[in-house]
This record gives sequence, structure tokens and C-alpha cells, in this order.
Amino acid sequence: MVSLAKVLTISKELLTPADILIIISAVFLSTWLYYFFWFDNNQQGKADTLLVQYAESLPQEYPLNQDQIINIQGHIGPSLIEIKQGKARFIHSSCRNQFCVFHSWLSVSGDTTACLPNRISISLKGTSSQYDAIAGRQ
Amino acid sequence: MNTYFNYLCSTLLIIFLSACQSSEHNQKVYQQQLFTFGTLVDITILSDNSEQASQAINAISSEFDRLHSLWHPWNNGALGEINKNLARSEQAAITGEQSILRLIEDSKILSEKSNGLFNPAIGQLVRLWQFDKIEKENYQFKIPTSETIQNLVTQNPQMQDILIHDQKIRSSNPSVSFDFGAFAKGVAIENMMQILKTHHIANALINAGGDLKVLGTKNGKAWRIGIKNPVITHDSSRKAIIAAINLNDSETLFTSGNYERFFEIKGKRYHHIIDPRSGYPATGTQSVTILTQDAALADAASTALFIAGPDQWPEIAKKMGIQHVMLISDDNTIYMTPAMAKRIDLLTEAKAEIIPIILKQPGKSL
Repeated sequence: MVSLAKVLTISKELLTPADILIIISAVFLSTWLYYFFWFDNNQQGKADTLLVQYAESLPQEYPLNQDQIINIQGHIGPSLIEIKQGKARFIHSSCRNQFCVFHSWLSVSGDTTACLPNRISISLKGTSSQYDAIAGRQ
Repeated sequence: MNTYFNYLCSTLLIIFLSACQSSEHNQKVYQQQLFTFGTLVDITILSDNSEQASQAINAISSEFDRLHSLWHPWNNGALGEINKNLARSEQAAITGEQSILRLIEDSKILSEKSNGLFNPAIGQLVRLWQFDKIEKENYQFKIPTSETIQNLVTQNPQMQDILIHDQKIRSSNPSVSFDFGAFAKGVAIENMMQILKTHHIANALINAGGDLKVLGTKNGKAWRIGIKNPVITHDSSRKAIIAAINLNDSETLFTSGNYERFFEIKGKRYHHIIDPRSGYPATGTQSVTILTQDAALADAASTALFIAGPDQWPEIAKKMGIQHVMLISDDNTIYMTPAMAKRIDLLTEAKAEIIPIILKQPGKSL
């Protein structure tokens, strides 16, 4: 059986101190990667900003960590948008059907809803988006 | 974990991995939102050239606007005029615009494959339900009388009643009126894909009100799509996204839902997907999601399967050649084909309370 001392001697012959540094770093970094992406990933895909856009104008940004009610003038009148506990929704709009108000809270980065008659859309964005698009109800 | 520690580790990783860097570089992402085609359209384009991206976006925007007025069933556009002529039992000429001819011919084939459940000839029935008034202020919706509904259902307007000869359309049934609401968006998205290709754009995503199609990849990765929960709730503990799926080049995802366009009378919801067999909004289904490569087929099939409902959908899916289906019924049961079950990630943990998941796979023969 090969003794540990012998392995170390062979290692010394084959590996330079820089090689050993690389190996140690690689082991350490892979452990860190595992930890970061499996246990510390609450921030992945989490939205931090609300984008409010009227027609094709530039979107206005609001931080999601400040609860507030935003009043924005649209095509046919005002729309009220509520930010609460990191989520957002329409609470009033100057439209007949109020489909936008009927819509659930937006909470995931990439999620969007719009008041079509008032031409106002709201969407969430985060540092790293979980989804490239949202399918289904809008 | 300490932010600085993470920065340090990331920096070390970058140094180590820089030796492995490929020669490929990431393209820039250009996004544009449009209110067009009666919906919200989101365009995402990957390109190295901002001029190229903005030219493509402008071309798509004007094409959506053009098709919207051209294909509108009741306005003064080309299709509106054809409908007026058919209502007078006159033949209608197709002049200058071949896209309508294609709409009619293609939907005729799909209507037959769907056993008539996808039926764009029931424009009069759809109009009877006043869904054209849905954006009007203070409009008082009324449920049509059962006699008027029955009368139109008995007249049985079908795509097969249409005869096209020498650029002229005739109908052997005076109750035929076109409404391509369940087809136009799919065909339009396919047109937009052609526009992207003529502008030499290989990687893009077009999302028209929750129905979408992708081209290529997002910088080498599949497009990651979240699928919304059809159950509308303001209970914020419920998850908004019930499933996720990766889409590859040229794949399309279409959803028909009972929450899209509707009115409520005395607390009862009347939605816009009319069952041509009864004349009333289709029952039994909350939403149907279809994955395939042809957006026009996906659009028609999502409507047909919605109407087919929890019992009949596998038969219609098979006939229409659709392999990837997810149907959520009124009682919150999720039905899927085996092919869809393989592709989709159900966010079960999140939705176990919302929707009791009973994964039935009746589509075994598909």
C-alpha cells in the first residue's frame, strides 16, 4: 500500500505550489457555488422595481420596498397603482371593465399586466429575472 | 451571506473561468411594448445593431396595426366589408389583399379537423353576445334571448358553407359571418416572425397578450417562460405563476382562458369563447395551453380544446395533431398530455393549495 508520505512526495514532484493553490481554490469555490445557488438563492428572480409605462413612452421606475399608491394619467383618465410589501397591482382605472383591477397581484420579476383602454402597463423587474416572458392571462 | 465575500468569490471565479471563455459574445437585448391588435404586445430582440432592432420593431408595429384594421370583423376594413356583403347574401370580392384569402382557406381546414369546434363562421353569434361592446363605457350587457341564440345555432354556419372562386367569396348559408378572433393573433405572430427574419434577426420573442412565439435562443439559453395561474385572486399568498417551461427555437405557447374577455350579470360570468354547438359560452374549462411550432394552429387549437372541455379534448388534440396540451378544468383539475408533462415544470409546492393537482393523462394515445 502506498503510504501518505510517498503520495505527498510524488505530489511535490508533480505539482508546483501554484497547482496546489489552484486545486484548493477550485474545491473552495465549488463549495461556495453550491452554497450560493442552493441555500442563499432567495434573491434569485426576486423583483425589486415596478415599471409603469404609458403607451409607448419610457417606463417610470418605482422601488418595490416603498409602499405607496401611484396616480398616473392615461389615455382616458387616471389609473391608481398600489405597491405593498414588494408586490404591485391596479386598484382603480378609468376603464369600463376594470380587468386590470381584477388581475391578481404582480409579485414575480417579468410579470406584466395592463389597462388596455387606458394604455397603461405595469411590470416587475429584478436584478436577475426568473422568466423571459409570462404566458397566459395578461 | 456577506456581500463582500460573494464579490470576492465571484471575482476569483471570473479569473479562473476567463481561460474557458468562448469566442461567442452576448447580443444586446432590445425590448419594446406596443398597444396594438387590441392587446399589449411585448417584443424582445437580441441584436448587435440597435438600428437593425429598431427597424424590425417599427416594421412589426405597423404590420400589427395594418392587420388589426384589415381583419377586424365589424369595422370598415377588408374583412368587415366581406361580412357586410355576405350578410346581404351577395358575393364578396377579395381585392388586393391575399391575407384574408389565406385566413379563410387555412381556417377552413382547421375547423374541419376540430370537428367544427374552432368555427370562425359564427361571427353573428359572437356579435349577439356583444363582445364588440366590451370596451364601451356604461354599456349595459344583456344575455341574448334563448330564441335568438337557438335560431343562429340551428342555421349552423360553417366554414364549409364558403365557396371561393376566382377571388370571390360566396356563402351557401346566409348566417355565415367571419370572426377570426381565435385565429388572427396566431397568424399575425407568424407574419411577424417572417418580418424578423427579413431583418436578419435570429433571436427574438414576441408576446401578444400572453400568447407568444420565440426565435432562436436568449444568448445560447432556451427562453424561460412562466405560465400564469388562471385562477384570479387578490390573496397574495397564492402563486401567480403555476408552471414554467423552456421554449426552443420556433416554439409557440398559446392559451385560451375564460378570464380574457367577459362580462358579469348577477355575479355570473359570461366569457367570450362561444361553443358553436350551444351558442353559449363554453363550460367546463378554465384555460387551455398549447405548445407547438405553428402559432396559427396553436391559436385555433387552444380555442377548440377549450370548447371540447375535460372529456373531449384528447380526441380533438389528436385530430388537430397537437401533442403538448395542458387543460385546467372548472374544478381545478390539471390535465396534460404525456409530452407536455415531460416539458413543463409544475410549481407544485406553490399551487398545491390553489389547485388540487390530479395529473390525469388521458392523452396516452396521442
